[in-house]
Amino acid sequence: MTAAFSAKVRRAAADPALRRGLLAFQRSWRESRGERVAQLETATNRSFDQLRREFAAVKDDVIANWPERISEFRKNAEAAGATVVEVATADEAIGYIADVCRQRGIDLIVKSKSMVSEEIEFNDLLAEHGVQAIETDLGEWLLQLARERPSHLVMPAIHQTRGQIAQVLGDELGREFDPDDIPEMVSSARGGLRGHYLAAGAGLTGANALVAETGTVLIVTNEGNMRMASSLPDVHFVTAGIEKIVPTWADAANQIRLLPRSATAQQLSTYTTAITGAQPGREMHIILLDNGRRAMAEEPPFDTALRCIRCGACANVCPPYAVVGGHAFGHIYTGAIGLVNTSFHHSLEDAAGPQSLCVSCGACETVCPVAIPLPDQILHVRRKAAEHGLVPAWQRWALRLWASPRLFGLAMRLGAFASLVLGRDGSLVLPLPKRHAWRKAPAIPWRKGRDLLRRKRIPDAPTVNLFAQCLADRLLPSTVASSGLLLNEAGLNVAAPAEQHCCGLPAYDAGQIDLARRMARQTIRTLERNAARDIVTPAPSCVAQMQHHWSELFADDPQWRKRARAVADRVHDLADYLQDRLQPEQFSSDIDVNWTSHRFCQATNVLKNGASAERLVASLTGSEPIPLEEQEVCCGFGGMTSITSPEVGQGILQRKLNCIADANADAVLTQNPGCILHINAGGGNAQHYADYLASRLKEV
Amino acid sequence: MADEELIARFAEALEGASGELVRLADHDAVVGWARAEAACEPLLDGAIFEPGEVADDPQIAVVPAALGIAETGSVVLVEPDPAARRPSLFARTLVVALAQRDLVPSLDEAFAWIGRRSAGGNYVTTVTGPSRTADIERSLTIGVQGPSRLVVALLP
Repeated sequence: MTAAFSAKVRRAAADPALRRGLLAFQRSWRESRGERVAQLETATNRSFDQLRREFAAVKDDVIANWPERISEFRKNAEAAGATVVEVATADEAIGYIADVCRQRGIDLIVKSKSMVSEEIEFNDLLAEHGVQAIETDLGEWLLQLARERPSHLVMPAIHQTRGQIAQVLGDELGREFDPDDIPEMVSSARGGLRGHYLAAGAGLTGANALVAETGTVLIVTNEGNMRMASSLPDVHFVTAGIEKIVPTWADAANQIRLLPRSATAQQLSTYTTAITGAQPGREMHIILLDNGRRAMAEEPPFDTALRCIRCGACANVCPPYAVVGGHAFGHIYTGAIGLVNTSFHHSLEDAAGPQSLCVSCGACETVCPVAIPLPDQILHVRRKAAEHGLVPAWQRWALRLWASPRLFGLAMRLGAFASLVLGRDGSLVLPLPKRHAWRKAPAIPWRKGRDLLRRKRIPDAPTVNLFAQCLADRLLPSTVASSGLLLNEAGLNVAAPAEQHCCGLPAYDAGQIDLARRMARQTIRTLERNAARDIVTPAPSCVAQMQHHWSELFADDPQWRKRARAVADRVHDLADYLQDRLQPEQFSSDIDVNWTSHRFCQATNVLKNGASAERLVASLTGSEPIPLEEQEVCCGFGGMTSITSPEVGQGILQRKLNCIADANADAVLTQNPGCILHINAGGGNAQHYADYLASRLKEV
Repeated sequence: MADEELIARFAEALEGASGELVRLADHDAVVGWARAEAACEPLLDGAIFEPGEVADDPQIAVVPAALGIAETGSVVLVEPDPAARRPSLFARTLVVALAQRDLVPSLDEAFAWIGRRSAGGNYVTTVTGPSRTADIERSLTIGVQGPSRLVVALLP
């Protein structure tokens, strides 16, 4: 991560207006998008997941048959009077357009929104050829006036405040604007831009889809500027990525059902315009850009990122995006998809900083209308960044230490000693800057969790393996003890293999794949040796790692993949495992504790069992949780973000702490040790549901 | 689907998109309605519009729809001639005349139809409500560069 990038992140994280605006946007979007998608599911009698997978299959098929699809589109568009050119690079695209402008004597172009034009830095490069480009989308125009770049794929000026906008508009139009009179500022664009449309020699637009069967450019807009830019000047340029092709109009209808709902949470945008060819006397030039797209198709798993329809939904649920916005969380393409495709359309260096902000919470994948496995792809970018020396060297050293059970144990011993000497009230103040959530780190207890297990031997009962999780074992030992106690109370004997250490998640999250493999192998060997079939852990993050990432980790190693699979299949999350094995009679229900529940993000988004811990507590104690706003949103612990970009981790955590404060509960329960450590380091008071339940066990 | 049920669905979706519906007898009635509605002239009648006829900021214009979509409350404008698009581009109030028989239930039928009409060249727009933006602090503002009022005049 470069110093310039860190500075950018710190600046963005320190802007309260930005964060307020983004948070309000994410909350309202989530609600309206939910309503729109539910309405679509009812209308089509299909689930969102079915609809998106069907459309994703269409896009995959286009990529698999690219040459045929492109030539079909070209043939039909040309038959209708358009000129279609394929260009490999941004320079070629600019060169072509500049040539046409020179031949026609064009020195002014009006533009409607086009992300590809941003990708190729059209405005600046065309200016070098003496052609001025004027943005006509209100948001893009405001950015152009402020000399800024879009910070969101669909809401380009979402980072600007009304005050800033009143200022730039006032400077441009030579009059004063009341920042609170938004309708007046909006309508000034009508007058401010009208003259440009009529004076321009050409209009430039993007494309949301290219329909191959008729050679049609399909464009979705709300303001009406695109129709003007494509109607008033004599020449119409279209810049589009070659991945925008869909074969048929039926496919286009499916895309249009998914796109506005996912973008602006509208059923349909105001204008869906289908432009096929040019009228006599007019010109239409369609510039199809590669710029890394073919390379992307040839490098799985990134090929499926070419399904992207640029709706921006991935940013709208992204916790770190809500803290820093798209200027830091992304490059020219923003949001989760920007963390992936930047490395192809721009460079790995440009992607290296932004990718480090991802917390791997998995929220983006759940709303992506084309089911791109974004969290996995971001981790692959991280892996490439690590291979190219674009992540700090200390990460590798720290993880090497973590990968060795012996060194890890030794370090924890030292930490426990330091905690004994220097710890105060269960925490240890580390020599870190104030902005760091881990400044007040949890003190490390002297005895680890497995040493606290008190087990009664139950004759003839089956035995389960308790996988403690390395973090919980050292930092939350009571949780390990409580887990053992509950399993015992459920009539099971508990074994806790001595050699168990780490599933490899920290190294996997950091892109250090060789270390992740080493750690996974150690865990697999340990758990294979133990005869008990079922493996139970109070840490769902380990379950996610074992069941969802191990097979990918050993993709090129069939033997280890098989062994990994066999172990992963035996692993259970404690809450799921206890569900039918404990009875309400075993727990006291006399005290009316108000409890609420923070759901571990990956439990919701990856394991799809987010509610199981609170269901367990509710069923055993006969009480319902107090609702917690945004209960499934990440607390900021995921990935390395809370360590590498502490302001971002803090920002995400603060959002969580605010929601927790609003819930005003006596107890905050959650299911993942990492969340507990992070929330409590920030001054919260979360506890593992296993500890809560253990404390309510009736004395026998 | 019975006609009235289709119309009811169309009306509901149109209202959801901030559009308005009036039911009138014929094209003359639409022009009369628009003339009465406009605070002042000029009025553009897309059916008889001559390019260059009027300046670029008309109060109100009347144009014909080729199709209405009940699912989304949209009207479909077929405008291959760029010059003839000016009324629908510029008018502050856009009145779109839609014949009841041109109402289709869903986006699927509409897109199949648009696909057929696009082969060989065309410029077809599905219009759903008035133009809008939320680019300034996400504040939804109706009427940006296109019409700020969209009225569908449904004809028998």
